[in-house]
Formats: sequence, C-alpha cells, structure tokens
Amino acid sequence: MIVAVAVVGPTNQPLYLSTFTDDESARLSTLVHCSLDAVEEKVAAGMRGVTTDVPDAYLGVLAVEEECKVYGFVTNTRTKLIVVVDDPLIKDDEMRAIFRRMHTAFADAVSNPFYVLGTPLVSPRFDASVRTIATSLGAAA
Amino acid sequence: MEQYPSELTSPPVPLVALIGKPELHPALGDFLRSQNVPRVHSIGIPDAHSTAGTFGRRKGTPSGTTTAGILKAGWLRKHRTSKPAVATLLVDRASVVGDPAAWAWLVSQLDAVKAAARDRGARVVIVVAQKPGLPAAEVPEDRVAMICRQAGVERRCVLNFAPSEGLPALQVVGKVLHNQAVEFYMADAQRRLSAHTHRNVPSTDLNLRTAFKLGVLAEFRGDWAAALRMFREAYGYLSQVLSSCTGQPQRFAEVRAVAEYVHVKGVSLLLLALKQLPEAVAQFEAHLRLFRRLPFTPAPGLLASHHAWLSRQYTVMAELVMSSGVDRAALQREQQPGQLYLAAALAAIERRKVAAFISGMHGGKPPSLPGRVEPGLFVGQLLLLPADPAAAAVAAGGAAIAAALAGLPASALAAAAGAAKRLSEEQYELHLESEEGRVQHSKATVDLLHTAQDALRSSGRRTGKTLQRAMQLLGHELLESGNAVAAEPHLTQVAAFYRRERWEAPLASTLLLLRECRQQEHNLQAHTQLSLELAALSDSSLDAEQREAMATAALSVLAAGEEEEAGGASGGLPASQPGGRLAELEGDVAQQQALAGQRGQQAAHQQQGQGPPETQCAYQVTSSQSGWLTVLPMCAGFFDPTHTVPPPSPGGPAAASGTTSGTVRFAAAVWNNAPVDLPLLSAEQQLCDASGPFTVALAADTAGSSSGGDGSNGGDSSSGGQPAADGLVLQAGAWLRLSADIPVRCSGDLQATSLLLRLGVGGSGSSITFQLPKLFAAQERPAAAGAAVAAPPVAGWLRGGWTSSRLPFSSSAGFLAGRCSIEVPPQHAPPLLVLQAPEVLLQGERAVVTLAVRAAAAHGILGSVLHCTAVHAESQEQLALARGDTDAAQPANKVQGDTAHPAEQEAGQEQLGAEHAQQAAGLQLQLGDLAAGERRHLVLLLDARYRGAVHLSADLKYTAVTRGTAGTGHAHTATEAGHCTATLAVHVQLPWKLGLQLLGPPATHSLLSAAAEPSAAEGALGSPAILLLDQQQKRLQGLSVHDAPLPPSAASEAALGDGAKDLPALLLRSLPLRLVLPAGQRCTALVQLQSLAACQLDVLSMDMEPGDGVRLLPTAAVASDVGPAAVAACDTLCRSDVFAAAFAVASSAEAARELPSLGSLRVTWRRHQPRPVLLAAAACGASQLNAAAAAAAAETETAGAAGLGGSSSSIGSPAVCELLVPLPLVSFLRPLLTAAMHYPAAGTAGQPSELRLQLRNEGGSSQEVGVAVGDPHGSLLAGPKSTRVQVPPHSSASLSWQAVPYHSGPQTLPEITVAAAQHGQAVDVTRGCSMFVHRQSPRQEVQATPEPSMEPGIV
Repeated sequence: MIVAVAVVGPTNQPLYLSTFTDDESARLSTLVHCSLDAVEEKVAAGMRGVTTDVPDAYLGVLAVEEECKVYGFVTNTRTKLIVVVDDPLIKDDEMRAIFRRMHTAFADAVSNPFYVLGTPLVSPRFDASVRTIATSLGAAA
Repeated sequence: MEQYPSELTSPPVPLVALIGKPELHPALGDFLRSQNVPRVHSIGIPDAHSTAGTFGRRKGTPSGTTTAGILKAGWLRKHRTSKPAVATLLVDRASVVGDPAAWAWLVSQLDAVKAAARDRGARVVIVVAQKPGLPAAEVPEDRVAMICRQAGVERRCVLNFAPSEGLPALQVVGKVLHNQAVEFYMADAQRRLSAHTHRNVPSTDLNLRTAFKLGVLAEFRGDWAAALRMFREAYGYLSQVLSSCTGQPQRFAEVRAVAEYVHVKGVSLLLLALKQLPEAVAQFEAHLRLFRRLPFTPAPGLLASHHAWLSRQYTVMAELVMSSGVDRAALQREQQPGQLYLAAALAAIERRKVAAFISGMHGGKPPSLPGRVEPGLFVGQLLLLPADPAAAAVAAGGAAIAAALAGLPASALAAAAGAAKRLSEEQYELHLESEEGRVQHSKATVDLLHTAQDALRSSGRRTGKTLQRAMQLLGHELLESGNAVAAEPHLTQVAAFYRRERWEAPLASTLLLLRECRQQEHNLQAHTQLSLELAALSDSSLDAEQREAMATAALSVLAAGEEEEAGGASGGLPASQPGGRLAELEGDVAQQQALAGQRGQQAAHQQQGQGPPETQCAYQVTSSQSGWLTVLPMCAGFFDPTHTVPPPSPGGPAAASGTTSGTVRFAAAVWNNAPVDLPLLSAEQQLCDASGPFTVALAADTAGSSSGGDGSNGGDSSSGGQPAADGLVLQAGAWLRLSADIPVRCSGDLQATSLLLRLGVGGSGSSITFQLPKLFAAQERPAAAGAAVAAPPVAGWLRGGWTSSRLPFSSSAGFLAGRCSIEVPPQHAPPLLVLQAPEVLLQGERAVVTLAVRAAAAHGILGSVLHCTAVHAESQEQLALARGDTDAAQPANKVQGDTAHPAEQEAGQEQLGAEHAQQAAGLQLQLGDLAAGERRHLVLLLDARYRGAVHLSADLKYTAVTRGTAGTGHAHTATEAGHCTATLAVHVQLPWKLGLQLLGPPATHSLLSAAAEPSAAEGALGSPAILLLDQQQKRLQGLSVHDAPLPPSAASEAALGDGAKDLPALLLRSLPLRLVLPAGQRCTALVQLQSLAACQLDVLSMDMEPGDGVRLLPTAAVASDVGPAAVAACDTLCRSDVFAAAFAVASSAEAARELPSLGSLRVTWRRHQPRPVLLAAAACGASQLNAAAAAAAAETETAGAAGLGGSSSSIGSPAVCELLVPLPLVSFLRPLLTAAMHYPAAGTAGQPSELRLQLRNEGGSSQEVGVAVGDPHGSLLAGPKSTRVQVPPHSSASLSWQAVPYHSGPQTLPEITVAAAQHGQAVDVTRGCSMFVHRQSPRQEVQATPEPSMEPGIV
C-alpha cells in the first residue's frame, strides 16, 4: 500500500507531499527527506535501478524504515518522484508502472502555463491523479 | 554484543580434561589454548580417582513428545566449560616401566578414568610424560600394548611426551587431543541424530532443539558448512513454532529468545567465519520480517520488551558488520552500520515511549510481584521464586546439588526442588512492566544516537539529511531526559537546516521541540518567536485553529512587550501537544490582550511626550536562516534614480521614477505568513550616506505605478499613502508595501542598513530589525551557483503560490529588488577637481603635484575642504605633502642621511617633525567658498622618499547651493553636501647608482699590510666583517685597491633597517661596508654617479666632506666622463651616463686606525627638463573621469592657471635636490712591506735610464723578496734578471737596472715582478708605468754607432 507520495524539486525543495495514513505525516515527511541522501548518492554515482545501456530514471529502493520502503524516480529535470510503500512484497515492475503514471501526471501539471517552476504544486488535478494512482495500490482514498 | 553470554558470541572450542601430574597442566593448557591450531580448551583434574562425575552421564533415548521448553539455557555453556570430550591421563614414565607396584597404581588410574568416561563416551588418551630435563626415551612396546588393552584405547591414543623436546612434543599432543575431540563430537552428533530419528512422534520443538545442538557440535568440530546448514534448519522450524504462539506472550517471548539465539549463531558464523555478507544480510532481513510484528495485540510490557528486542537485533547486527571486516561498500544504505544504529535508536525511542505510558499507568511506581523472577531452565523462560531465598534453598534440598552439578542456572535449584514455578500471563506482563521501570531509557537512546551519528559520519556515504534527523532525535531525547541546555544547540542547528531546505513538516516538529527547550529555559522572547514561526508553517502537524491560537498568543506577547505578562500564555501550551489546551489558551490570549491594551495606553502617553514607542522585546534578523524570515519574508530595494518612466502619451515629458526633486525612493514589502494579522506601530528605515547614518519613516505605498502587484492577486495590504504609525497592518497572506522618498543629503553611496518594524497595538510593542545587507547578500548565493530556477530577490520563505511569484514592486518602474546600496547622483552641477603629477617621480626629489578646483558655472560651493594624501603602496606609509606655492621660495629640498652634519640634522628634524604631523592624516586645505565658475589652483610638493608605487588622492568636500522654484513655485535656496575624489597612481624610481673606487698611491705597492687593531665596531659586525676586512686587505695587497660594490648581505640589510628605503641609505648600501686604505699615503677616491632615470638630470655639484681623521688633499678639478649622448653640457646626464669625480684623501695620522666614516658625499642635482610628462586624474562630482577626459580637463585647467598667472612658475622651474650620502667605514692600515719603483719620466732612445726598485720592510721580522724581470717591452735591460733579496726588519733594500730604449715615443717599462716569498704574494711593480722616449739627436747617433760593445749587463 502506498502511504506517501512526494515530488521534490531539483534543489531538494518539496513541491508536493501527500500522505495516506493518519498521524504519520511528520514521520513520513522526514523519511522522504532522508531518502534524498540516497537519491543524491545514486544520481551522482550513476547507480540506477537496473543496469542497461539507456539511463534508467527508476532509482529503486532508497531507504527502508520498519515496514516502509521508499522508492525513487528522477526525471530529466532532476525532479524527484518519491513513493513510500509499506508492502514488503511489491515488485520493481509494479513500482516502475506507478512512477510512469506519476511522471505523466507531473508533466501535465508543470505544463500549466500559470505554473511557476520551483513553486509548490497546488494543482487539484495533479493531486487527484496522485490519489488515483495511490488508491489503485490499496491506499486509503 | 555484551547483551549475550560469551558462549553465544564466540565459536565453541573443544574441551579436554587433563588428569594427573598437575605440574604439567599450566604449560600444556597454555599451549592448547593459545598456540595449538585449532585451539583446544582444557580443565585440570589433579587425580584420576577424582574424575567421577566430570564427564556426566549419557541420557537414555527420549520417548516422549512433550517438552518443557525448546533449548536448555545452560546446555551450550555446559559443553563449552564443564563437559570435556577427551580424558587425558598424564602418567610418569617411571610408573609405566617401573616395578609392579607402580604398574598397579597405573592400572588403578586407568580404570578410574575409563569408568568416568565410559558413561558419556568420552575419548581417553594416555600421555606418558618423562621427567623434565631428561632426553626422550622410548616406552617398551609391550607396556604400551598393555596400557591400550587395559584402557580400551587404540595405539595412537598412547603418547610418549618429553617436555624437554619443547614445542614439537606439545604439537603432537595437541594434534592427538583435537582429533580425539572431533571424533567424540562427531560420534555424539550421530548419536543424537539417531536418537531423534527414532522418536515416534517428533515435535517441532525437538526438531529445532536437535538441529541447534547438531549445529553447535559441528561448530565444535570446526565444520562451518555443516553448522550453518543445521542452524538454518533450526531457524526454519521457528516459523512453525511461532504460529502456535497466538495469545501466549510467554511462549512468544521464549520462541523469540530462541530465534535470537539461533540467529546470532548463524549470522556470527556467516560474518566472522565465512565472511558471507549477502547471506548474513538476507538472514537478518528474514529474521526481522518474521519477528518484527507481534502475532497478537500486545500488552504494554510485552510491547516495550519487543521494542527492546528489536533495538538489540539492530545493534548486534551493526556490531557484527563492523567487527567482521568485510567490505561495506557492497552494502545497501539501509544495511550500513550507521543506519542500523539509527534503526536501533528508533526502536529504543519507541520503547521509551511505551515505558513512559507504563509509568503513567502505575503512577510512576514500578509494579511489584509476590516473588522473585529468575531465568528458567530453558531459553526465554522465567520462573517465579519465593520472596525469601533461604526458604527456596531449604526446599531445594539435595536435588539442588545435582542441578548445580549439571550446570543449570541458579533458578534451576529451586525449579528442581519444586520451589519455583512458571509465571502466569498476568504475572509475566507485570514483571515486564516492572522491568521497564528500572531501565534508564533516555541514556540508552542517547548513547545509541551518538553511536549512530559517528557511524554515519564515518560511512563515506551521503548522509547529510540523515545526520540531521539523528541530531533531531538526539535533541528530542536530551529534552526528554530533562537536559534542555544540551538539547537546544542540536535543535537550533537542525531547525536552521530545515529552514534552508524548506521542508515544513520536519521543521515544525523541530520547532516544537525547540520551543519546549526555550520554555524550560524561561526564554520567553525566543519562545514567542518560535510560536509565531510554528504558526506560520501550514504543513505542520497543527490544524488551522491551533496555529491561529498559537499566533494570537504570540502576538499578544509581542504587542504587550512585557515578559512577565506573556509568561502564562506562551508557557501554557504544552510543546508536545500544541493544541491540547485550546480553550485555556484562548483565555490566556484574552487576558494578554487586556494587559497589552493597558500597556499600550501607557506607552501612548509616553509617545505623546517625547520618547519613542516602548519596545520590550527587540529581535535582530541578521541571517537568511532566521526564523523571522519564515514568518515575515521581505523584499526591499531602492528605485533606480536614473530610471526614466516613459511618458504616458507620445511626446509628453519623461519623468525620473527613482528620484524627484532631491529625493531617492526606497521601498520595502513584507509578507505575512502567520495566520493572523500583525499590527505595526511604525516602520522605519535606517540609512547611511557620506554624512552619516539617519532614519526615515516608511509609509504604506500606494498600489499605483510603482507597485508590481495588482488588485487581482489579493496580496496587497497597503492602504494608500497612509503615514507611518497610523494603522499599518501586516495582513495574513499578503504583502505590506512600504516606501519612502529619502531626501538627498549628499551625493555618493547611499546604503539601506536596516529595516525596523515595531509590532504592537497602542503605544507598546516589540521591534524587529532586519539587517538588510546581510539578508540580501546571503541570498545571492543560490542564484550565483546557477540554480535551475532563479530565486526571487526575496529574503525568507515566501509562500502563497501565484501571488508570491510576483515582485511586490514593478521592475519596470525602476525597482531594484535586493539592492540595498545605491549611488546617488548629485542634484547640483558638481565642481571639477583635477589632479596632476609627473608620470615618473625620482626618489629623493620633491615632486610638484598640482591641483585645480573649478566650481561649476551654475553652482557655487561653500566651505570646501580639500584633503590630500599620498600613500606608499608597498609599506602603506603616508608620504609628506606640503604646499608648494607657499614654500616655493625655498630653492632646495634637503634629504638627510644618517651622518649629516649636526646643524643640518637639527633643521632636518624640525622639518621632518612637521612632515610627520602632516603624514598622520594627509594634508588638509581649507579652500573656503568658491563662486560659480571660480578656479582655484594649488601646488603641492610630494616628498618622494621611497621607491615604488605611490597613490595620490585628493578629496574635495563641499556644500553646494542650489536655487530654484521646483515644487512650490516660490524661489528657494537649498544646500547639498557633495564630494569629489580624484586618485592617481605614480611611480617613484631610483635616480642614481653610486660607485666608489679607492686607488692607492701611484708607484707604491704594498705587498703586506698590518692587521687593524680590533675595535668595538668590528666586534659588533662579527665574523662577516672580519672576512670582509680580509678581502679588502687582499685587494690592498695587490696593486689595485678598487673597491667594487658588493652584493648586500642579509646582515648589512638588517643593520640598515627601515632606513634602507631612503635614497642615501640605498646608495650607502651599494658601497662596501668597510674601506681599507694605506695609512699616511696619498690615495684617490674615484666617485662614479650613474644616471638611472628615464629623463635627463643635471648634476650641479659634487663635494666630498671628509670625516674626522681624514684629510682631503688638493687635487685637480672635477672630472667628468659622459657618454656619447651628452654633447651640450657635460653635467647633463641621460640614462646610463656616468658622472665621475676624483678626490685625493689621506689619513691624518701615520698609525693604523679605524674611522667611523670616510666622510660624506654631497651631490646637488635637478631635472633637466622644466616640465616633465604629467599624468592627470579628474573627478566631477562623485564620478571620476576617464583618462582622456582627465587629460583634456588638465590641459584646460593648466591653460587657465597660466592665464591667471598663478603658480605656474613653480611648475616651470624644477626643484633642486641635494643628496648627502654618508660614506662607509674606513680602516687605515700600515703597510709592512712596500715596493716602490723609481724611474725617470722621460729618456732618450739609445741612452740608458736607471730603474730603481726600493723595498721597505716596516715589520719586525726579515722578509725575503723575489724579483724577476719579464718582458723588457722594447728596451735593452741591464741588471739582475731573477734574484732574491733579504730585507732586514725596519730597513730598506734596493735594486737597480739600466734600461736602454730603442724606440721613441711613449714606452712601457720592462715588466718587473716582486713577490713576498713567505706569503706567496706577488705584484707587477711596473704595470701601468711608462716613460716618454725622445729621439736621439743626429750627433749622438753618429757617436753612438761605432761603439756597440758598450752594453755590459744587459739582460
């Protein structure tokens, strides 16, 4: 089950953060923030999720804390998509599909001509898209 | 790892028993334990008949399926420490080969050991030991066979051991013992496996137990692969066992403890023995996956113990990884020791929280049990003993002894006797809860966090954010332990980090903790600020009502500005539960508002008097990481004073937006992120210009042309030109735009230093001062670093989406966001200031520097003051400047040397004193008032004392008068301070190079000189000076006494000190430290002055002033030696030309002596050209003109000055400079041996002339002199060709030759060399000597022709 979704800007400023559990937003926010260490490390070292000829935007598992696993995805503009799940048996292929859908929603959101790059994503449409993706994996609506 | 017993954390080692001969036990035991490979542990038994019970009794085949537990608690320790696998009987060789009595004693020992080991199947080894010191001797084979038969062992188990053989003998024993132990453990494992196989209905618990024991026995054998296989099999049964634990906390705890046992054994084996890191990590993950979640809803005690168990698992795994020495680079981030320690700390924090809950349940006292709880017989089990230990011991009786012998834990005594019993589930929970009350949770957690931080820092991975989280947890735990002082720095650092990263939720949780710290420290000022910042974070854990209540309470404190009154409100909200007491909080707020109102009335009365509004809390915002910028982000800047607003209609007049009729516009906008409106008492801007600091009140800016925000965004709280302190409000989620037209007091740099906001209602409140240059300077960094998105020039954390994305003021109106410093153009026509100086100055001269000031045609200036400075760039010393027009009558500038005459020195000191007084702050001239268009011309003399670059600066300060009708329509007069600054860099060069040659007396040659008497000066100079003296003596002993300049040594530079920068000192330094001359003889000092200047120089005179003890002899007129370029006047020198002068000097006395100085050299010179090439700098107002414009202005001003007949005459006549160079030390030495050649000045060809060599020995010993004749140089020479002459002491000797020249004209004398034989010194006494040979008259030629035989003695 997805418990949190975050979009982090190129300079690590949070653009969007949504949690799907009760009373854990602070902990999950801190967990996402800490996982940026792993993102920076993997991006700097070129350690992507799967070794292929084409650079892979999917970063794989970034951090593990108790039952939660943090997965990451980085776009060409160095924007990070972070997903926190508490399902230990989720597969990489499922996460790739989730990130592809999130990336599409993010691209739609930043294509808004009234959106200023680097500012928080407050688009209701993007929020609805993210919640749809999360609920498809069992998150609380 | 200290949480576990040692038998669990270290691999098992075979155990053997050494029986008999106790004197051999230490050596043999030490060898087996430390040197034998593999190691073997041993226990010692002194006598074979005491071995009963040592090896235990083998149990019968179990038939039942029910067990009381899974793993025996003491089984592992028992087999490692008290149940040996081999019985080693040590016997004397004498008892083996001795008499029948000794053999009988041996047999009895064998029987006893055999009987003891038989029950458990332990192996038996007999070691026949020889006496120490004796060589090895064989044991008869028949006796060995009898021993084997008697003990029932194989032949290889009987060893002949000779201690004298040392290590090889010990190795043989060790190898046999280890092999026998391995055979025993293998047989034991097979027996256990067979017994387990033959069980009728094997249970899972027994399967697990058997697998674990087989694994341990494999470890005893060193079979790691088999041990790992059995441990994995044992762990595999745990999932089945765990499924049967639902609702049974004790059973679950037992299974969890057993799992921990098996897991630690397996992971230790993988990491420490097999170095298989991935398998160990997989085992760890599987272990946590199986046991992380409790299979049922736990009671608090079990939950706390489970968190402790989890924390221990992480800690032990981290310790194992760190101690294994495997490459940690292959580990994933979450498996790094730092992350494992952090996870352990998180579990410990959870445990602390549950423990706090338990403590609350029991009112702070730990619950008590009716007895004492001890570990049970099986791993993970607990037993309840009676409270009285004596009763339990009595009840145990004899059965307890057997239990003790079996190696069971202490509680087994009571258990075996039936005195102990298992705990009920309620008792177990109560026991766990009471245990939690005895643990210092915060200390353990803090230690773990410190360890985690150290491990994270040393991991070599990117852990910046993780470290901040660990630091936040550390601060939280320190705060929980009551150490707010220690927690505060950690939390402050973390808060600053999250502010910089702009993560609201972590920042909010950190601020809550920090706020609690401030409350415990009774720092209510900081507490109020943190409350307001916390309320400004929309993504915090607080809801809107809580944030608003918190902000209201903080505002009441700020408005009241009284800390005592604020204490109730700000301290009434628990930090951990910010919204827990909203109703109470609202009451406090109302009370605070009432109190603040009273305080405001009092302050209003004060304000009506003369004082400013009362402010109790003063906040300073000096960093971009300040929390106030989270609440009140701001934007500030000047409007461009040169910006021109396009006319509203085509053809209309353009207007300057940044400045109107002598004002400069400054604007600041403050955004309010707090959920409540913040009333302002006033807003003031502090500025600073060339006249000093001043303050301007800011008023709300109208949302007109200058505003970038429009009404549609809703983010404008300005109220349209309201004056300050009249209803200014920082509305929540909106800009408050403030601006002011600043009257220009003077042109130049105008800096906005700080913005002061006074918050409050009525007359009292708090002040916030934003230090603008620091805030906006710090903000320039991310933009300079090339961030993908350019940050808006706003200091602080601006939120508000679309509204905040626009600047509060329009840049099209000329607003310069973030510009806190601006150059204010003058509002009047500034005067022109021109500075001129020669392009190249010569060191030692007084250069003419001209200054011209011309007031503008439209504006006169009042009270003008000119401040001139000249700074030597290298030393940063101010050079002297003097008025040249008043001192122009003085013809010469005298540069004093160190040895000038006293009268000159005195006069020079007075002048230097005056100059030094001027040097302190440069030259300040009061020019007074200048009418419009008036010129003023000044001439300054610059003392170019030092070489190198000199920065000339002239700064004119004045007050301009403007008259006009701007604004009001009435004529008015206004004044404005202004300044002009012109700077110029000139270069000072060295004009002269001085050389000095000393020539000895002509035709008198000193072969040897007496050493000068040592003096104080010589002693002070030390050995380098003595060496120098020797060199000088050698030169003197030769014919040439030319003292060429020597390279200055470090010692001489140090002796000269700072004076070396002066020209006389520089020239003196180019001369040798000491001159040496023959005493009492006429010498010649040849002075050479070479021009180094790029311009022509005139040498007016050169005089030598002899020092005391030196006589200046009359000589020929001053000679000059000029280069081919000098044709007009011999005393005008171009570059590299040399001016030479010769002086005849001699010592006043005949005796040798040392004089402080040869004298001094006085040179008078000046520039040849009256007008050198000039450099010019000009400034008009605050801006400096470029080089071309400055040159044009200088030309104009020079022409104007000439037209006025001013001081241009002083420019036309170059100043005369006089240079007084002290000459160095001189030593007059008395020559010991001299050779003088006497010869006629003229002769006649064909006629003999006498050449006489006069040798004089002034010494006390005889000198042998060798004389040799070389090339006759066109003469026939009669006399000794080569001879030696003994010159007695204080006497003379002479040699003579007859030379007959056969050519006419100038002729060189024959070459005659004189050498002092004892000292190996030679001199050519005729070198440079010549005579003029006249032609022979015809009559003499005729007479001389027929007498060719008259040439006796011709060489």
